[in-house]
Amino acid sequence: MYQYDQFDQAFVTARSQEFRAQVNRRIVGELSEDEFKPLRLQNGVYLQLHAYMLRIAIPYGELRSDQLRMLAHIAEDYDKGYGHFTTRQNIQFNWPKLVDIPDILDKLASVQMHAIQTSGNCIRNVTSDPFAGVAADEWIDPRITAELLRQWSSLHPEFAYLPRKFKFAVIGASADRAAMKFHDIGVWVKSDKAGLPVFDIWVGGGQGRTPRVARLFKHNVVPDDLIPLLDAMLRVYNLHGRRDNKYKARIKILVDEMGIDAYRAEVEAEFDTLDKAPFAVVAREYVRIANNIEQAGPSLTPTSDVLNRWDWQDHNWLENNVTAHKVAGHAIVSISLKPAGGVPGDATAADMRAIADLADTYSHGLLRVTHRQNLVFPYVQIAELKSLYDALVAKGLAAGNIGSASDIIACPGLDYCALATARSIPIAQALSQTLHPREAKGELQGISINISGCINACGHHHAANIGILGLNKAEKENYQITVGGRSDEGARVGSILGPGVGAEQVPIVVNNIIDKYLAERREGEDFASVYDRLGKDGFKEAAFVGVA
Amino acid sequence: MWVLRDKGRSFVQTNVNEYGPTRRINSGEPDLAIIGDQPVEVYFESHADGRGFSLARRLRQLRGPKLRLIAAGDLIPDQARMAFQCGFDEIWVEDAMVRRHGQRAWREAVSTASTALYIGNSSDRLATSPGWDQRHQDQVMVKSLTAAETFEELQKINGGKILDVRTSAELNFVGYASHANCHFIEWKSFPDGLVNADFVAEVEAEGLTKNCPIFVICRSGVRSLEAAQHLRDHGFKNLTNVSDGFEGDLNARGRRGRVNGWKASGLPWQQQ
Repeated sequence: MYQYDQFDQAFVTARSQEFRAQVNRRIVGELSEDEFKPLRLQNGVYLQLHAYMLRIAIPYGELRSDQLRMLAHIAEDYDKGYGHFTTRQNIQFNWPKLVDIPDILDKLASVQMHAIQTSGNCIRNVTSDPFAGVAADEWIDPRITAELLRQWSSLHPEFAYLPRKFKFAVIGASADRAAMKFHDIGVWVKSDKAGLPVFDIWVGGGQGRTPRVARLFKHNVVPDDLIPLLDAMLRVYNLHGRRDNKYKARIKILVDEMGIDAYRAEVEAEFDTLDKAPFAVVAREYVRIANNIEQAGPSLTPTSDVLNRWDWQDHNWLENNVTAHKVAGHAIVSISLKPAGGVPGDATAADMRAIADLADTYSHGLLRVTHRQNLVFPYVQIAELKSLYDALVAKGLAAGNIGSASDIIACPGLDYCALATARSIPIAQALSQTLHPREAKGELQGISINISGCINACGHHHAANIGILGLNKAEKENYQITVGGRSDEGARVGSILGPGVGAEQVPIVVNNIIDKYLAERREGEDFASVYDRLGKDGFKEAAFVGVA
Repeated sequence: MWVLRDKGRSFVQTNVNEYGPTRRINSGEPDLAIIGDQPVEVYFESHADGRGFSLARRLRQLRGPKLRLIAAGDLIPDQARMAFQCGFDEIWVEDAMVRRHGQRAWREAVSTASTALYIGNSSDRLATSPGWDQRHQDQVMVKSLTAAETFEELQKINGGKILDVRTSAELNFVGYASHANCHFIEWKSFPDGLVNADFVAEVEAEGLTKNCPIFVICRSGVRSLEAAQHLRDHGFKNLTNVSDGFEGDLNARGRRGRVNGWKASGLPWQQQ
């Protein structure tokens, strides 16, 4: 994990002091609410339906056990005893008081955490592969690039008042575990023949009202060009992105309206005029970050231990929650925050402390947050797997459903959110209750279900095999079902299956779709491959059987 | 109207009409092609609309350091540092905004109390992000401090040296800083403006090394910046430009030595 140096620590501490002064100026009226809003947003403070919400950055999802304990402490002292892990690898607290937030930020700064740029129309906290640095299929560690982007984008003076929010994701493996192609800019890091990084840049992905899969902007960008190229891409967006309608203000719309070629041409013209001298240090900085991460991370010794899957009673947990590690004798272990009937992504202070203790014992005190709202222990020895599993069972944290149908993504929905048109969490809970018993048969792996409570799509419904969108029709909650979406390297937007259904019918339709998939499935196929063969029409009839 | 400047960190109430005409452009409808030699005033219609920041950078890149670039309109104190980092020279603030936000907020907006968030516009290179600039400034930037800040810094650190690059005539008639470690090497001669071809060699002959902290000063910060950039390009790593120089900027009546600079800041100086 990247270790703060004096510059990082000074920056985070100073920013926290600055926000305290801004809150005071707001309270005495020197700042209007209108002026204060972007300042609070860029420090992670939202105004929700019932209260302020504080979203705390977990840069590229990497977290230490002492930081998780601090989050547990904040949950208990300033909130209602729990926190909510988000689809962008952050955590949010739903009930803090505005006057307490400067104190919370000071406490976060003491463990090298902050809430900078987790909200607002700026470059948001960068996300990445939760298996970065340990995945067996990795080409090059994306955390180095993600950290480079964090350094560049933190308080970038030019891009704090963009037309709309701006999200980056970075991956460095053949598999995309970060929904890279649903980001404003996606960076796919590859390794050239000499082992040096080169970057494929994708642009204009996003969800919301106008879902778009990102388009390829440029292949094989070299390190010296990366940051000035991103500066040029953002500058063209800042100058030309629409500001008349916030629903058309994301870069995906600009790329749609200009066309990718015209956008690229303007960016290249801008790039040519840029002073590249400040970025002549990028290659050197990349090496500094790489060394920093390497030195601060654990050094694992390969062992000859192999996993004997047949020793296990809970075959599901082993099959779904344990992933191949690049160091022999080790495994990546995912901890599901999706127990039967639970709220997706929620963790209580007690859960957080239990997980922090287990991370110390089994994973060198380090863990990750995933974009599917789960946690990961990246450094577990295979020899200790069984003992970790038993400990998780004892704490009620051993749901074996990672990457399976009951591993549902849901936005906060109408229970918390001022924008929502329908509830998401109760739908997720009801679905989870009906799907968990089916999980036992081990047949629901490779099906993704995501729920959004409005068309802003924070619950990523467009990107799910089975997507559920909550709308409000004639003052009644109504749920539209999509099929065929994917957020992986084959990213695709789902298609609407038919007219919406009532809340109580959602579990029926979802189970119908799953039954149809299982009936049609051939050896080795997952949901996406069956959908490739059958298309939307293949599911249409079966889906609504038994729905009045 | 109040004018906030990064250079000299000054915030004064003034009649901006005395500065002569400016070319005003609206950040929403810029036509960079028709911008002439007048100072350019970029007007922010709303503090939430950040186009002016990108426009400033584009203009600064196209037109270099000589263009006088003014930010006006609906900016709040918290945006001042972004404006300067993006290349604006000054911000014009309506009296009503000063009343509401308070003079203190505007002055603190350009204080270097927290260099972690703001290291000032060196006019050397456009700033990137504060953390980036902090970490890499020895490699990429000439730092920038006012004369008063330089004086303070020289007392804090060991081995700091002042390098005065003015002509001998200026030194004789106007005076120079009283400091134990003051070195005098002309950067450009008067009146032909020719660059001293032996500058780097002469600096080295004075015992100024590539790693020692060097504070470069001239009349008002322009020649010293060129000289500092030249040294940086020759491997000197710890360079600061004294942004307001010895005599400082012209006041509204066309005189130096009144607004800012080493002399006007009340710092020790002498004459031969």
